[in-house]
Amino acid sequence: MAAITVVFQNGLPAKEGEPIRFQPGQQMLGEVVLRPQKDVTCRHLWVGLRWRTEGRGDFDSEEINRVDLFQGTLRGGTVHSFPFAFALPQQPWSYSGVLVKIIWEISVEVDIPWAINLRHQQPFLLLPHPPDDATS
Amino acid sequence: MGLSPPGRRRVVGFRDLFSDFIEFLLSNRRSRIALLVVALFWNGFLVLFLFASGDIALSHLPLFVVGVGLMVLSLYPAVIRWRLAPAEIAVMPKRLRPGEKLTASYRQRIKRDASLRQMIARFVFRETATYWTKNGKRIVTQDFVLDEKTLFFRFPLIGGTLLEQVVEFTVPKETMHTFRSRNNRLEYFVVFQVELKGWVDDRYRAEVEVIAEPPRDSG
Repeated sequence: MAAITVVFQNGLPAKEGEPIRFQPGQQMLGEVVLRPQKDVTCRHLWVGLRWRTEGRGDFDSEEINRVDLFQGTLRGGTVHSFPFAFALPQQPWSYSGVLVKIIWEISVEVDIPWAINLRHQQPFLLLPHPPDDATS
Repeated sequence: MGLSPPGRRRVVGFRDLFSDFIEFLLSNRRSRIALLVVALFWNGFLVLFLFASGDIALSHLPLFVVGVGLMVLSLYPAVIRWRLAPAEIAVMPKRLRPGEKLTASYRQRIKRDASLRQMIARFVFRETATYWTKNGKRIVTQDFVLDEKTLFFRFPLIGGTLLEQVVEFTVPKETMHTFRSRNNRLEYFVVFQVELKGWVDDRYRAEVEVIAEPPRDSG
């Protein structure tokens, strides 16, 4: 197995307990860090930018962009880092209501032949306001 | 995590539920006809069954009450229109960004004298969630009142005159934009509610689109 982490290299500092914030239209820079315990054959390393809904209603989602960052063998015991960049859209903004929530996230999927794919989601906020002015 | 709903959460009472139902009937002719057909069948079967059996007792009264209730409900829109003509409402601008002002106007012809208990204008943010169960599609909504203005209070209406009013609302600076996806919606409405004494509420709604752009003064 492998530990997956997404590290954002820009964005606004988050409030305690909140994901990091980005402005609509901003360029998001980040990297996917993989730490496999043993050698892993990686058919694809998919990194996607998407939003999804949560709440009472049925699930809605949209993948804005998806890139394949790596194909090959990930050596065990080594830290692998794959940078990515996404242009963020203007909307929808992150929202947390009573019946509807809109969640933005970076989704990572390591496609491994003849095994269950490894998945990881890293949420972030897409908001136009600076953190101090926004409603909590 | 993300923007919160603006305004205060609206608690829906029995009168609101009834007004919601009447608003739905007013805007949906097929439902009105369906309800009338159900009412006619109910009453028809009831009369035939009871008279054929010759056994009419006081215990059958609730069945008659239900039948009469269904008839009244299906005809209620017509009852409203007996006193008030359909209203014309206009909102300007229809698309605006957070922090901007809108103007809503209301115009309705009074057909017959009535006593207006109150007329309210509300600026409402609505969450709508749709989901499927084994019994079919379900839609749930939650309203948040951003602003509410009482335009008239205990006011006599004279037949043949016009009920006119213009009201201004402001979209909060820090608020969510209008959002629509397949199963989830976030929308803004201006709602006018006319409450006549001893009469059902007449309610109208106009949608306002809040666009996903930051307020002008925040750059």
